[in-house]
Amino acid sequence: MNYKTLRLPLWLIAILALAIGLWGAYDRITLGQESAAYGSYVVWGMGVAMYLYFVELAAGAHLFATMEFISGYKPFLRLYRLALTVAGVSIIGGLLNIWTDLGRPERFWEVYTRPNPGSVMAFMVWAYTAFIVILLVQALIEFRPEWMQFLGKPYAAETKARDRKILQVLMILSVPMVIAFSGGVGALFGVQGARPYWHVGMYPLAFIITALASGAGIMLFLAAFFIPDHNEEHRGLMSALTRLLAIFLVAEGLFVFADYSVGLYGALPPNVAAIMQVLTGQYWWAFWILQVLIGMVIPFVIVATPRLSRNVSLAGLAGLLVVLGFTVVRINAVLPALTVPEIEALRTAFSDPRLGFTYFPSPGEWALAIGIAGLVTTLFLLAYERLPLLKTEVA
Amino acid sequence: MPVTTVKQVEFIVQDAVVGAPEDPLLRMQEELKRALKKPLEQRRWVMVIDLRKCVGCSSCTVACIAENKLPPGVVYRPVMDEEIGKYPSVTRRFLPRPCMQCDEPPCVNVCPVSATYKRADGIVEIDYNACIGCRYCITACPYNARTFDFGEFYSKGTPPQGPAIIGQARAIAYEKVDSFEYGKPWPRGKGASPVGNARKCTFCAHRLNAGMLPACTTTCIGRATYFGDANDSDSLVAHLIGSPNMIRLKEEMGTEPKVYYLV
Repeated sequence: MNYKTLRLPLWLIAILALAIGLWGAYDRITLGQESAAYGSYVVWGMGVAMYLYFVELAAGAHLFATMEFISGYKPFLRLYRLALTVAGVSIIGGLLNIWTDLGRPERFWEVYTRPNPGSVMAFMVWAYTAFIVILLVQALIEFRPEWMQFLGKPYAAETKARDRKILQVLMILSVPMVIAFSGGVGALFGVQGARPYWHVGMYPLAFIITALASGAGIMLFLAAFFIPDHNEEHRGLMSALTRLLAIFLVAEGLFVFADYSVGLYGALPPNVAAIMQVLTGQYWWAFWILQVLIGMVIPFVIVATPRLSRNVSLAGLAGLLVVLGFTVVRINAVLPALTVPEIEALRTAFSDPRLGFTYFPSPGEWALAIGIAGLVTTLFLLAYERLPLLKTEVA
Repeated sequence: MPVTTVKQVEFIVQDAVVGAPEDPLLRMQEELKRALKKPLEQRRWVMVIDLRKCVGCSSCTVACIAENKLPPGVVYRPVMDEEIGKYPSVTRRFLPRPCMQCDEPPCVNVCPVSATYKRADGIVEIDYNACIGCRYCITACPYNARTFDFGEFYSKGTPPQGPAIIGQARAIAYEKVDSFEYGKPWPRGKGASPVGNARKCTFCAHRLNAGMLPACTTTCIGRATYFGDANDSDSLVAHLIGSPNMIRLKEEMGTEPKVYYLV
């Protein structure tokens, strides 16, 4: 199976998602926050979860753009432009999700004009800005041969050598930057002493591992279905990606196990309540079936079994399953901390639909999230079809 | 001829000899005037709630909603009602929960745009015109004391018209009356702040500036809520917060709340 087979279904899914998203956008523009199902106690929902998901996908993908530089393993170079593109469209998706989630989206620029340096959220915005700048410069340099040719100007060997040095500096800069912002998202939650479920010292590291696993997943999927020539180098790339994905999935599983088992053993009531909601609550199936089975166990079995992982399509499917299953990872990271009251008697203190401790996304929230995912997919497909993403010129 | 109990007789005699005890509201009103003469940074507003007197009538909640024109989903001072024990040995206890106006407020640190801040007198406020509505402060509060304004109306979905003084038109007109939080009018229009903002109790800072006690304090039917300047050693609250039966919620969080409970 290759991109030719997947092209039509992918475009159909992307366009359908975009159409759904248009309704979601209309719903949000006309009704504002009224259309959302979250409330004053469960204040974050689908938008925040999807923001986290895409931001980590961007971080993970971007780390794979520097993987050749880090590891010295040449086949990773084949992913360079693909990885930059995934990182670019994913950060757009992440920031769109959080921007539309703001109560006053028109004031987002205030994070630049009147920032609070002590706020992790302000730090994150600066980190995203720096990331986008680095990403744009990397893309401009990497695609320089093409746009120089488009402008009818020659691209000298000396210029290429200089550009390669600039790219190396950017790669050195981008590794700590990506680690800082994927870990920083974990810190955004981890610093909240009021929420024991989030207040875990290892949370930033857990977010970095999730970013790496989702990055490995998307790269494996793309390497399997979007790189057409399955030569020796491709086999080496696939082998490296499946091994890395297996390692990251084990690490992800260990983090989840450590977090939940230590939390349960510690028996701090709000933390236990939050963890039990994930494990046995109303949406237990989201954790056990979507996150664990589809997002972790099945892909792990595929990539860790040599006979299965050698099958390019199966390996690609494993990557796709990680990408899909990990959407739930972030939902389960955000919601349980909020659906446990900080003071138990608040449950019944005031009757109002917005003052409850349950949450299921509204149709508008689903539509907006699906639409943004559709936009991300569309942008990637357009880039894949219009730009030469399968070669690496400068890096 | 009404029946007079021994206790009532004792009160009547006491009143005749030493004069009727002063209503705490009058005392607090005088103390408020005294405090307002001091510079802002020399005041330290605290609230004391006597849980032994609270009967769970929620009049403070309603007064707060009326004073601040709070929309659906926004509540500054809910009264928590807990049942203790199992039938037939059941008792109830009530605990009003305003914003704690923490001395170390976690909500202030997390705000990405410094829209929420602590005033010199300790009241934690929100700049509605700066708040971007990210709701990070709401998640950071250990007391669930912040809520979010979704821009909703209680009158939405109600029958279109009723008798002259009730019905949807009247309700809408009432809901659109300006709120005077922070001492300025906030017309409730589509999309205008504080819609899309985090909102919270400010100890009725706008009333304090006008020389009035917070709405919850004046409305409490059992005189269970006390308010004043803890930096005034002669004030009622300064005496009360020294009581051995005083507690604060979640002391272990290190937030140093300025709402005290007498238990």
